Amino acid sequence: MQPIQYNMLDLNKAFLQVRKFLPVQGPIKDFIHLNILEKFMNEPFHDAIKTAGKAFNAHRYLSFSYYREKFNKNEIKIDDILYILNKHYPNKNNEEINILLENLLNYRPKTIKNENAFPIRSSLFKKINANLDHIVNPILFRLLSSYLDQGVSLWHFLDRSSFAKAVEELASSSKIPLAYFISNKELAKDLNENIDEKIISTFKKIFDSEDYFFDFLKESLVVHRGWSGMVDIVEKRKKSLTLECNINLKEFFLVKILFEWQAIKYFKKNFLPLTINEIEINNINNDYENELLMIWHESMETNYYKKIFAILSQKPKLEKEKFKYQAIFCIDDRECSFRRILEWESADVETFGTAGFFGIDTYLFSQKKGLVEKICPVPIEPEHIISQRQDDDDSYLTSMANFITRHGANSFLLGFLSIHTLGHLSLFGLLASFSHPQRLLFSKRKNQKMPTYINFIRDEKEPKIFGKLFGYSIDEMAERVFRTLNGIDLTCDFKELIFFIGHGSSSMNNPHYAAYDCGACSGRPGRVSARVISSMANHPKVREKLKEKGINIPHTTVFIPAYHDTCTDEIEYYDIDNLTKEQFESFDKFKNTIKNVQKKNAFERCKKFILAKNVTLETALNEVKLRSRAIFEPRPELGHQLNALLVVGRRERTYKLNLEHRSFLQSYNPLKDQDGNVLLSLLSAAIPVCGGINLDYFFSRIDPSVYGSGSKLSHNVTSLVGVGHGLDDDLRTGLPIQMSELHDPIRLLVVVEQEIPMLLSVIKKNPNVFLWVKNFWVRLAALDPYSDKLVMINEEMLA
Amino acid sequence: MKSLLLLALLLPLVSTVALGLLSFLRSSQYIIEKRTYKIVLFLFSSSLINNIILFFLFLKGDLKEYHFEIVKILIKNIYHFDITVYFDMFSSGYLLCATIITNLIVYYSHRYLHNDPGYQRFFIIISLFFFGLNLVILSGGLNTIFAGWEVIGLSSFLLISYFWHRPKAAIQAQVAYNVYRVTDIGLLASVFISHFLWHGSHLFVEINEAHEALASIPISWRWLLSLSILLPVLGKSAQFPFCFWLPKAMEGPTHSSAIFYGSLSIHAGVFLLIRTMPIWQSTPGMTLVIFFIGLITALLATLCAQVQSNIKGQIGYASIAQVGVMLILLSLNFPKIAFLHMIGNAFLRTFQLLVSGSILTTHLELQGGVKKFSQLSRFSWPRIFSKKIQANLFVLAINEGYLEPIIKLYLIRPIILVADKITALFYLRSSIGMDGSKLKEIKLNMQMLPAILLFFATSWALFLQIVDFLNAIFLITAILLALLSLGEKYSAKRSVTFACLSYFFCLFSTIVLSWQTSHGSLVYLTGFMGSALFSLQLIGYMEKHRRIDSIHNFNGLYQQFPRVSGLLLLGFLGIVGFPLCSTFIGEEILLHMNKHHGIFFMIIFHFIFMINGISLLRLYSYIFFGKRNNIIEGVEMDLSAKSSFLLLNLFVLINVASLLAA
Repeated sequence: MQPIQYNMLDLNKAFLQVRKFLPVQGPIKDFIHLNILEKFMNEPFHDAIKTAGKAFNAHRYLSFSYYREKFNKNEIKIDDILYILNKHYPNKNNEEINILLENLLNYRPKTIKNENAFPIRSSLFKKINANLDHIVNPILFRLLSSYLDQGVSLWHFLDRSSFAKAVEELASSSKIPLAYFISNKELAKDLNENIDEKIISTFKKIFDSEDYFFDFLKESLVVHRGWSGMVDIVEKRKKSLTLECNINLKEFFLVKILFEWQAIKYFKKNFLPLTINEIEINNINNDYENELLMIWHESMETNYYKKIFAILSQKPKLEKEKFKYQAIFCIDDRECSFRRILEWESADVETFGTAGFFGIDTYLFSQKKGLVEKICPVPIEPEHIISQRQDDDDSYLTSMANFITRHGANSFLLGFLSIHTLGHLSLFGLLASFSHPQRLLFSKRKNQKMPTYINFIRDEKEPKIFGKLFGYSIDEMAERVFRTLNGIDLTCDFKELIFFIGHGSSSMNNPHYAAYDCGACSGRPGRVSARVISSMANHPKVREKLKEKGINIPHTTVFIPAYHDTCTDEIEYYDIDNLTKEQFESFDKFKNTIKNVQKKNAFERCKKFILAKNVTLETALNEVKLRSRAIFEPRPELGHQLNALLVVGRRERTYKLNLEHRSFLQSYNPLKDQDGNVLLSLLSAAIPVCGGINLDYFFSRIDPSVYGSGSKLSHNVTSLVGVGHGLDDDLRTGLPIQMSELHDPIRLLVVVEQEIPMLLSVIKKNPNVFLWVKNFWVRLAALDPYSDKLVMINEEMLA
Repeated sequence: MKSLLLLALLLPLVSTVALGLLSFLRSSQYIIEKRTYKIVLFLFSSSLINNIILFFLFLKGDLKEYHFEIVKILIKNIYHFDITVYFDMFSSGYLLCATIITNLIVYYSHRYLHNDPGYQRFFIIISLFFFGLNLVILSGGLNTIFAGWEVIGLSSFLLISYFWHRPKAAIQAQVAYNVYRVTDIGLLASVFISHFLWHGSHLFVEINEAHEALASIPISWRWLLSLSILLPVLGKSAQFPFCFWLPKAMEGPTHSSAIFYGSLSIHAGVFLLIRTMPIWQSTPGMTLVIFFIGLITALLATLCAQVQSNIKGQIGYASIAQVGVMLILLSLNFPKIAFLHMIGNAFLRTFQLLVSGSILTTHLELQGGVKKFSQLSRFSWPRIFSKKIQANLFVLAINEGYLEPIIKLYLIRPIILVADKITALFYLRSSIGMDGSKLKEIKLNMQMLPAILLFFATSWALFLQIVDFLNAIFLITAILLALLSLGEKYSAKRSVTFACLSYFFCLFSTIVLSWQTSHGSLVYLTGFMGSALFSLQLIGYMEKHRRIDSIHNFNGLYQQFPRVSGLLLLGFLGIVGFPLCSTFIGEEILLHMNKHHGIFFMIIFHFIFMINGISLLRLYSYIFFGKRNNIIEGVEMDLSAKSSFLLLNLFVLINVASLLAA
């Protein structure tokens, strides 16, 4: 092997390359569903799983027993397996196929996971006879989490301007060693030197050849993926933390390698650099097992896709004339069942689905909190900002109580006092949290609070705040309304009441709360978007502009914003003061219908929970409310579990169809979209968002301990940026087991109602979306608008 | 009242045993949960009602305190072993508090732990814990408290390693257990010292009224007694210098961390101090020691809490600091205020830990969000110092006062190092390299020095104290064997055998002393021999199916052998002399009969028990915890329910038979 000389340039390259192996998830308060293997998307799906599986020592598919059980339950049929076998091994003869089949059913795998995931590091550990991960990580994590801390610690000491500098200052001004194996003087001196040179020279002290630099770097950072990824993200997007911190991956690695070097010296006095011969790389070969599993997996997917094809080729009957209301929901799969039940319940309502930010691409500035949040999909970089003013609705008492429990009780003297006051009182808090979780003082969460006033109309006086355009002008408003209505093909036949229903979720004691909120609103509740779009559409001047664009909204039509809490199935309506009497009566009728729908939807959802199997239609709402408010419920709602389908097409295709909580639904009329522009804009948003949700659940389910964040039961919120297990643990990314255990990992099937040539040309226009389709991270199918023909897009068509 | 008190003790025990038996049966998760919860709900609810009635009976009653004996084992008038109950204001209050919190956690767990593979295991552990705690609260004497103390320690070990496949959890469980085991020696010693001092009496009733008797004891003995009582308090309540283990022990499910490390287990030490107040208050200077330990702990833990950037660690340290305050209050003779403080702290920390998951929302949504909080942190008290001192304080705090490295380096590591060296010498191989061929010279290094000094000092003292040469030889051999068991790296069977042999030599040494000890020795011998054979059999069974390569690395066999792991735990507990096993009783009898041979004899005996305890529980965690194995699907390796049930019966039979034989 030719030794590679690492110069400065290569070092930068190495750091650039190593980022591929770091997770994409940011701070947990902004939890957004992303494809966990987003950085591997250049490769075809199965290849990427293989690469990542090797790098992270993760499972690539579920276990044999899972698939075999499905087979025994007839959820995977022999036909499906044969179909996949023929697809993948067209050249094999019957005998070979039979052997494969036999192995699928009876093969006993020996090795699924590599025992030794980090060969270079473990060779080093063996040489010094100590596990550096157990020795260095605690102090490294403590320093880093203190540095990044957003408000857990009561005393924040480290200066946030540079991590290496903060550690250096600490080392130079403290007489006490940073850790028992560290000499402060040496560390301070080392940290003062040029970062690049120091990294290389320290590495040379540990290894005698530079061949392994990249692998060592990769292993060292991947061994605690969570923290490395957090450093990476904070480096790239400083704004992702409220209290901004300067840190970069290089200085983090420098601190780590210096700590490790000192530990090596401490544990082995006369340490000689590790030679190539001492590095044992024993890669097990489990490709055959994984090939079998891949066949199983694809068979399972095929089985599901076949079922969907059968369902979608039914022809539901939909009579537009009968409708009295129109309701626009989020694309979200949790609204799928709600819409269906609404249609079952009443023939009066026409429903639409579109991304839950309703085209309002903006930041939201909350005046009271002083917080700026993005409330539109992640890929969009908005230019606008709107503000909301909130009435003081958390009482003074609550604030005081929270202040004392947080800051007082954990300090010394105040703690003494608060124990004798709050301490004994908290017995009642405890009792109440069990007997009346729904009414608890502490269960008040953001979703229960209604912002009283949202300001989104551009005021000439202050056109810009935080460097963004404040609000929207009439033209801009008209454009947003036009785009939204045009996208879902609601351009004529306006009914009297039209509802924009945003959604979010309220749950208690749940660090992953953002994962339950609206994905199209960057993990925030979709309330504000619904209110803004409704007010825009109700604005007389906007309607005039819309008329010019060809959308004529009659003056009797009113847009009403509403908010659906997907956890409790409660619906709140806003801005209903200006309704006329007739409108109000009609609105009341709608509300009554919705009440039944809430009950039935809650009942249907409860059936999925084993512990809620005994609920009746009447108690269902109570049960879901309990789940939302109880501090002892790790599964507040189903979330996006079971999602597997995205239908882009007219509601005629899916009207009243039972898609089993699995489907994202986007309204789209292929007949009116001659040039495919509407489809392009819809798919550009829908595929990354829905695909991200799908694959986040997919991988969290496949390997909860690597891709997912393990069991929720022992999560410990660290620095307000993430969760770990217990103390001094790596940050855990992905979804906890409790959120993903019911999920069947099936790649998203995107069914688009459009002719194949048109669909293909549209897909190819957006390279990002095309990547998803080309490498099979989602499966694409075309539903012919004029017949029932459903065709899966395969490799030949894409070529 | 007597029967109610008995019920308070028995209900959790019944729950443990019933669930333990049920855990051998395997069925679907849903059925397991339903069955377990039904049993637990019934037993714990009745215990709640029972304990509430007890509390009100006590409030109404004229009796200030209540004392009675449950069991008394008399062996030929030489020795009696008793379990007693003592009930007063403090017990009634603490019992009620513990019952309420435990019951809440139990109700909470049904939903919280739903669909977790360890659902049943959790309820077994929590019942065991509750039993141990009740034993501590209601115990009438030091030896009953010791029994409860050990039960709490064991359940704590099992709970920290609840997520057994995580190596970090398994390591922290070992650390916590080692701290327990080392400090528990104090409690055991105090039982014997009080035996020694006033002839078999260690009951609180007598202690409370024995002011004059206490005053007549020489001061050095009183000091020894008080210190040996203080030691377990420091361990269990994570006081200086053992503060470090508690926050790190929060590896289990959040709500169980709340009950153990936030509220109940951590206060057991305070309770013990309240119970033994007459003893340490009559010791001049002791109050000062307790005062300063409390003060140092409170300051240090507060400092650590200030910089913890994770919520559980912060609450853990805050709780330790307040326990320090309780120690201060006790030393100033305010037991009632300290007790009130304890109850308040218990409720508060439970609550804080239970809602710790919502810190994100409270921070972001209330009081103006993160920025305001960060402004608040400007007012934290360390900021009054200069930048330099702050840096020093920060480093001190982030290293948690450097207590763990110090304790590890100077207390635990020497023992392990010595054990390693001895093992290496025994096998004539290098203790450092993995290759078994090379013999490296044994280096004397500074860390080993205290242990070696101790070793020589004890052997010297033995030669002086006990004239009998043979006795000394036997005891030294026993120590060496115990250390061998600790240092053994490759074979689990050998490790157990060494531990067993060390007990043999202990026995020999007592037999040499006096030939009359046959009754005790019979119990002792059958106890540990039975358990050892039982354990060896089980290990042999496992090794038939899977090779255990190294017992100093995690093997993670729990997944394959859940039933064997349960049985082997019993076997190991039987060997290490877990309270109420026949080994323990035998050991007590032996020691009791030989108490006239002095304190050194006793200390060495206990030392051997401590080492073996550490070594076997460590072995257990290395065998069963720490990683997930590649399970070969469809191959059943574990014992069948029937045979494991038979083995269980066998084990119980051995213990009962050995007791009856005596």
